[in-house]
Amino acid sequence: MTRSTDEGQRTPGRAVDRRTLLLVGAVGVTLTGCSLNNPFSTERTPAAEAVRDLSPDVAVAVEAVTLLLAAGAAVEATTAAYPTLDPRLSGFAATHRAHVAALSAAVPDRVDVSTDPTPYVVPPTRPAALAAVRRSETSLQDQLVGLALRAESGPFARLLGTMSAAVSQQLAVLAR
Amino acid sequence: MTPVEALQAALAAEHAAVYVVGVLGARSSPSRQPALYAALTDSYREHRRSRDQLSVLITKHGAVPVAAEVAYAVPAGLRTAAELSDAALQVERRIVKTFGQLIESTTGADRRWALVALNAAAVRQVEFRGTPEMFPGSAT
Repeated sequence: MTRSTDEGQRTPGRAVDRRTLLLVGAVGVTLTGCSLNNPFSTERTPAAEAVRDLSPDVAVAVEAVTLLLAAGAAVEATTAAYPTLDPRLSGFAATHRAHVAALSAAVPDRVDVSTDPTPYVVPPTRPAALAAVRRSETSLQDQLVGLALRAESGPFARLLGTMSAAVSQQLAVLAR
Repeated sequence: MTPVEALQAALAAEHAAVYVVGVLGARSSPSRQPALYAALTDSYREHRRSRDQLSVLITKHGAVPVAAEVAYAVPAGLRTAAELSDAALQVERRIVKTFGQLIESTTGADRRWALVALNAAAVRQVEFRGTPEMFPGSAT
């Protein structure tokens, strides 16, 4: 696999943008006029089947955004329930926001990336709530590694890998 | 960059890291700077392990692993814990970028190795008083 030298100068967000123009362009016509679910839905409607045919890296991007939003919702619910945890968890929230922003261009407008409608249940004690966030973020980190392995584009794999590493850093800070 | 070129670049970076972190460890004190000494010791072990694993990966591709230089430039100063920690942080930052490139240039098992290595190096950055980044290992 090769990469041109100018790719080394791109920001992560721009790396996605250029790739996305090609990927989204290829599927844009298919996506118009439908209310779509995630590409991992088992629905057999034409719209759902169209989404499952998305270019592989678009599907990876959609899954990544879905995971990030779910992790972000867990952090948000936890800090709402235990405001004193906010200083310890704000790094996760900021990191998720930056990652979703970097990926948003790769997700076609009409693809629904909403998370599980079941609200995140914050554990009843502060230590348990913190431990639950730690588990959620560890799972996210692991899943981002898996998505980076699935990505067909090298620069996109790198972007997902850097996101995974960013979560690892936040987990290291949390462990202090 | 081909997969082998990226692996060779990572190995060359690990050769340098093993050398420099070894010097940093030699200049730290286990009695006066126990936390730093432990972090440098861990870092040294991990860089040696990465160096050896990269050599194996390159050999599997049918290439000859790049050899280490005789010596590498070591930052000046290095008298205080802060100076030693900062020098170690610079080493990890360079390695993190190298692993980012390795992820981009490889697939399959090589990419999996690079992803694990990137995560470990990114955590070491934090251990050497680095600030968490949004995209550690990105090209910029």
